[in-house]
Amino acid sequence: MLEAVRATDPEIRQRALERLAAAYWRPVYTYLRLHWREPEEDARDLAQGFFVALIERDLAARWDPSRARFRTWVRTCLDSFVADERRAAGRRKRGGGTVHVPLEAEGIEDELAGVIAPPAEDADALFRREWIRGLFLGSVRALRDELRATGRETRLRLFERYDLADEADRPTYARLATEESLDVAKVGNELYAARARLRALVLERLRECTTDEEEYRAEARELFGSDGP
Amino acid sequence: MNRLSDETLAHLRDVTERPELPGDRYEIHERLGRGGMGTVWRATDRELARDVAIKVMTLPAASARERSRLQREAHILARLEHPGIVPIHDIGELADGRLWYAMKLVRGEALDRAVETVPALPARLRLFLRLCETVEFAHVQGVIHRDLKPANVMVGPFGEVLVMDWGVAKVLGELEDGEPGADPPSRSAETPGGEVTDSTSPGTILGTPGWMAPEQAAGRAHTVDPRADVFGLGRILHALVGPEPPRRLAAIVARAEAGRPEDRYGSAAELAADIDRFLSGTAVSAYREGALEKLGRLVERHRVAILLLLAYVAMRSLLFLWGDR
Repeated sequence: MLEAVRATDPEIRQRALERLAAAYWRPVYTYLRLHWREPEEDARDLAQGFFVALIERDLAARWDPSRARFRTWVRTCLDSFVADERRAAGRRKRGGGTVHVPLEAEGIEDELAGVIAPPAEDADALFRREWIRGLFLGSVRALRDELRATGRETRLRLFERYDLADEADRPTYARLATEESLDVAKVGNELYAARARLRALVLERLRECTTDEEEYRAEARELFGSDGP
Repeated sequence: MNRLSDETLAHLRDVTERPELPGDRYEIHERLGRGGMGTVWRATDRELARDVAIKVMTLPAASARERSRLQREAHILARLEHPGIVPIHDIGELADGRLWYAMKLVRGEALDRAVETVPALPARLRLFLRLCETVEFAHVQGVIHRDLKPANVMVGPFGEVLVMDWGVAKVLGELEDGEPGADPPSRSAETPGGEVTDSTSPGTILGTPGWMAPEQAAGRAHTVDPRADVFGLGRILHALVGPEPPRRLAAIVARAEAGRPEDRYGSAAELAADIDRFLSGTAVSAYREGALEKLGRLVERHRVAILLLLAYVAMRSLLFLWGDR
């Protein structure tokens, strides 16, 4: 996808940028809300405006893979964009551009409801955390669609009951086995299969969001090989 | 689904990383540590009823070349049978292609933390001597570690010293990527901490900044010899002896961590021999003493004998004077 962002063919580039906007909508919006402390509506407008600028001003063409990872570059661009916008007199209503990004701010707002003050963490860590959350969220949705489409409802229920539950509400394997009339080993196997597929889906998405094998592997090592945000 | 709390996200990251080993021989427990290439887990080997450590690579090998390189570390460990090197028990591959190997579970602390409870210099130097012995053994077997640093040295509860993480070791006589005659190079993997722990392409930096020899830092990792590890040992020694060591010890440190390989000790054994001389109070090869310094060292070394001799002479003198009365 990121190679296509820099393609010379405007149609290919446009499609890639729209997919890019969909992939980065969540971290961009949350970053605007938490780091820049933008109110909900302004954050939505700014996010929309940022993606429009990314496409219309061809900002992505300026990205140099040798200097920064794409994720870091997007965050830096966003910082510049917000600073420019704040300097500009009055904020225009945005959203009339050529990009269509999924507006799921309501869902994100539910999560942000408990976050009153911006967390004391550096900007890159915040952006990265939300980017990872977006990767997993999209992959969980894809896993759910896939399990439903293939009739693996039991696996899906076990996964949702166990892996998507908060720790306090997480049932034991034995309880799940009783609820689903399975033996405990079967519960473990089903969960293992769901997790293995989720891992594969996350890695597929990660590959889409990275420029080449080197960046993909570096990001994957940080995603699965560190406790960081 | 629009929500994924921090707690759920952390859980998902954990369960999607946690390995599921084939068969039921190993039961995986908690994560022990993470490195640039993989994660180490504590596990129970049900067959032999003992705890082991299992290192699992973060990703499947990108190529046959990388796969063979990852397997190399296991083969190197299997080849180095020594009390100071963690033995390997088993090796395999997960269903998703990630490689793993099981090794002895080391209970202890990294050297830098372990010496916090060892304030006496001689005791620290004796730990260091054990480290030198292990590195020398590997060199004799034709293996250069290339990433010696306190974090890669474990000290067990009984004072045993183990050298860990042979992931970037070089086997002398084996061609590496980038050397003339070897296959085209592959890419490197940089950890969040800035250390590069894989790949051997020409110009690629292998090792850890601050601990690796200058020739390694200059990207000539595939041309290094045992003196690169002598440099690493010198850096570790530097950290162990503190900011103001005795002159002779400071000279040993300076020779071990000299910028040019030809100015260093030729081997870990030579370095160990000088430390041993320092501990026994004899002249060290790294330091040319003046006459007064030599006298001072001899006095220090034979202090008890000299005191006894002086006491004897004093007593004889008193007896002589008393007899004259």
